[in-house]
Amino acid sequence: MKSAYDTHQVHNLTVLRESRNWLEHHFIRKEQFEQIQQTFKCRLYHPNFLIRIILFVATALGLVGVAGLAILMVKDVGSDALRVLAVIYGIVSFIALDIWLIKKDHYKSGVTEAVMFQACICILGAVIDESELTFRVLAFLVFAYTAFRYLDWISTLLSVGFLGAVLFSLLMKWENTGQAIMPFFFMMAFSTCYLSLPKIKARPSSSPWHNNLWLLEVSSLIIVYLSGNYYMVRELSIEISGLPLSPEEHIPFAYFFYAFTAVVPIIYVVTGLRKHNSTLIRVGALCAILSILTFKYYFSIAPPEITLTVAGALVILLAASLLNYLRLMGHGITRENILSEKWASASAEGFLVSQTMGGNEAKPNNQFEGGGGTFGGGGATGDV
Amino acid sequence: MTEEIPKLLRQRGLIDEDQFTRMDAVASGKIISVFYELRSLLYLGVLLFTGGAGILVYQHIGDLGHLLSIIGLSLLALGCFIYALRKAQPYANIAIKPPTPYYDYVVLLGCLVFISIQGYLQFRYGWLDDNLGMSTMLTAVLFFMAAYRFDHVGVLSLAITALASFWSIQVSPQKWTSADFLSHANLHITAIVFSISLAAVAGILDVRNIKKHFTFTYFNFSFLIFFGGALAALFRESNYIIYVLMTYAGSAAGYWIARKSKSFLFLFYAFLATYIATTYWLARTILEYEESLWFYYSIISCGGFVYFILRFRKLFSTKE
Repeated sequence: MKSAYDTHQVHNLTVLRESRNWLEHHFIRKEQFEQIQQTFKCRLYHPNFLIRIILFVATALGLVGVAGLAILMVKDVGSDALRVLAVIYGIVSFIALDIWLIKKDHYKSGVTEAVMFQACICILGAVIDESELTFRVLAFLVFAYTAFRYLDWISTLLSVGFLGAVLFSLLMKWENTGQAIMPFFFMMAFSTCYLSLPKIKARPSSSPWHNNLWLLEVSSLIIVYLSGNYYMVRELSIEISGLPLSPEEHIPFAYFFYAFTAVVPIIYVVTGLRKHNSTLIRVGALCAILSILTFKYYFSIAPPEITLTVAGALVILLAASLLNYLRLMGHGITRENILSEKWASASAEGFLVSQTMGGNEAKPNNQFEGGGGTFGGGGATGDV
Repeated sequence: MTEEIPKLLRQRGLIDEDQFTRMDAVASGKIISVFYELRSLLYLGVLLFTGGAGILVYQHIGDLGHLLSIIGLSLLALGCFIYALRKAQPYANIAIKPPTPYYDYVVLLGCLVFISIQGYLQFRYGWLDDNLGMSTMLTAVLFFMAAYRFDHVGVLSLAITALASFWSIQVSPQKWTSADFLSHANLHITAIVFSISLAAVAGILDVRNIKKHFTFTYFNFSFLIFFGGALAALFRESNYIIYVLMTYAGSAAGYWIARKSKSFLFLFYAFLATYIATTYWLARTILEYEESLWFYYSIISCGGFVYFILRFRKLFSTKE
C-alpha cells in the first residue's frame, strides 16, 4: 500500500517550496531559484492556503446539496438499507477522489479534502449506532487510512485522538485495575511511540509522510504530558470512578503527579535546547503554560488581577533577558529570524493584537473594562 | 526530508559550496532560531500585564495605592514612548526594520498602558458622559501617529478599532459572533460609509506609496465592517434588495483587490458575503416554494464557483 499521490511530484513540490523560502531569505539568488524550478518540475495543483479554504468551503457546501438530493431519492428504503447505501456512497467518493481529482494532479487543493472528509463522514455516519468501542475502532481505522493514503494532517490528528479513545475504552473495560494504571499506560504507550519515530523518519521511504510523522511526534509529546498532568488525572478520576473527593483531598500518588506536572515541561524545553529540536521547545513551552495554570488552579495565592499583572511583568522580563542573552549566538541558538514560518505574517499579528487587546473602549454605558481582558478567539485569518 | 534538500541541490550543482554550508547549518538544525518563541513570549507578557493592570486600577479606585499605581503606569507609558522615540529610525514611507528585537513590543506596551490610564481618568473624574467621543478620537489620533512614526501594524489596527468605536462601531470577536456589533438602529449606514471612506483613504495612500504594507490592514477592516454592516442591514430591513446589491458591489471590489494584491482573504470574504446575501434573497423569493430547489441551488452555485476557480487557477496564484 502506498500514498495516493505521485511521491516523486510531492518531493519536487517540497523542494520548490523550501527553495522559495530560501530565496525569500536571501540564501539563494533569483536565477538559481529559476534553475531549481527547471530541474524540479512540478505539475501538482496545490494552491495557497486561503484559496484552499475557499475551495474547501465551496466544495463542502456543494456536496451537502448532492447528499441532500441523494437522500431525497432514497429516503423510503429503511434505515438498514440507508446505512449500506451511505457506506457505498462513501466508497464511491473515495474512488471519485482518486479518478477525478488526484489523477488530474490535485494535491491537497481544498477540493480533495472536502471530498475525502465527506467520504469519511458517510462511512462513519453509517456505523454511529454501533457500540462505543466499535465506533472508535472504526473511526481510528478510517482516519488512519486517509492520513496514510492522502497524507492528510487533520486525519492524522483525528486518528491519534481515536486511538487514544480506543485505548481508553479498553482500559475502562478492565474495571479498577484499568483505571488505576491508565495514566501510566498512556505515558508508556505514547512515549514508546515518540521514541520509535526517529527510526521511522530516518528511512528514505517514509519521506512523503514526513509532516504526518511530525504531527504524530507533537501529539505523542502532548499526550504523554497530559496523561500525567495533575489536573487531568484528578478531574478524570473523579469523573470516571465517581470518586467523591473534597477539594482538600489528594488522589493516590498525588506527589508523583505534582512532580510530573512540574518537571516534564522543563525536561522537554531543556532537551529541546540541548538537541536543537524546536518541536520539543515549543511543545515544552505550551506544557509549561498548562502546568502554571494547573498549579494556579490548586494553589491560588493572589487575586487574579495581581497574578495577571505580576505574571505579565515576569514574562516580559524573562523574554527581554533571553533576547539580550541571545544577542550573540550561543550554542547555535539565535534570536534572529532565519527562515520565516509559513503561518507568520505581520498583518495577521497586527489584527490579532487589535482583537485581543484594548481598542474597543467607547461604550455609551459604564461597562468599560479597561484596556484589555478580551481574551480568546480573535479571527487570526490573515495570510497575505 | 527537508533536511536533505540543501544536499540534493548541492549534488545537482544548483547552489555553491558557500551557500550549501550556510543552508545546511539551518536545515540540519545545527543553528536554530527562537525568534518566534521569544516574540510570542513578549506578546503574552504584554497581554497579561496590560490586562491585569487594567483590571487592577479599576478594582482599587479610592485606595491609597491607586494613585501610586496610576503614577507608576504613567511613568511606564512615558518611558516606553521615550524609548521608542530615541531608538526610532527617521520616518520613511517604506517598511522599516525595528531597531531592536523588542522595539515593537515596547511601542505596543506604551500604547496599551496609555489606554488603561486614559480610561481610568475618564472613569474617575466623570468625563465619561460628556467627552467620551473626544477621548476616543484622541486615542485614535495618537495611535495613528504612533503607527506611522514607529511603523507598527499592530498599533495601526488598534487605531482603526478606536476610530471605528468613535463612530460607535464595535469591532471585536465577541461582537462578530453575537452579531450585535451595530448596537443601535441606522448604525449600518454609518458602518457602510465608514468602511468605504476608510478603504478610499487606504487606496489613496497606497497609490501614493505611503506605507504600502499598511494597506492590507486597512482593507481588512474595511471589508469586515462593510460586509458586517451590509449583511446586518439585509436581515433587518424590509427593502433588503438594496443591501443585496451593495454586498455584490463590495464583493466585486473584494474580488478586484484580491486579484490585484494577491491577498485572497478578501476573495474569501467576498465569497461568503455574496453567498449569504444571495441565499437570503432566494430564500425570500423562489426557494420558499420547493424544498429540493435548495439542493440544486447549492450544487449549481458552489459547483460553478469551484469550477471557476479551477478553470482560471492562474489568476488565483501567488506565484509570479
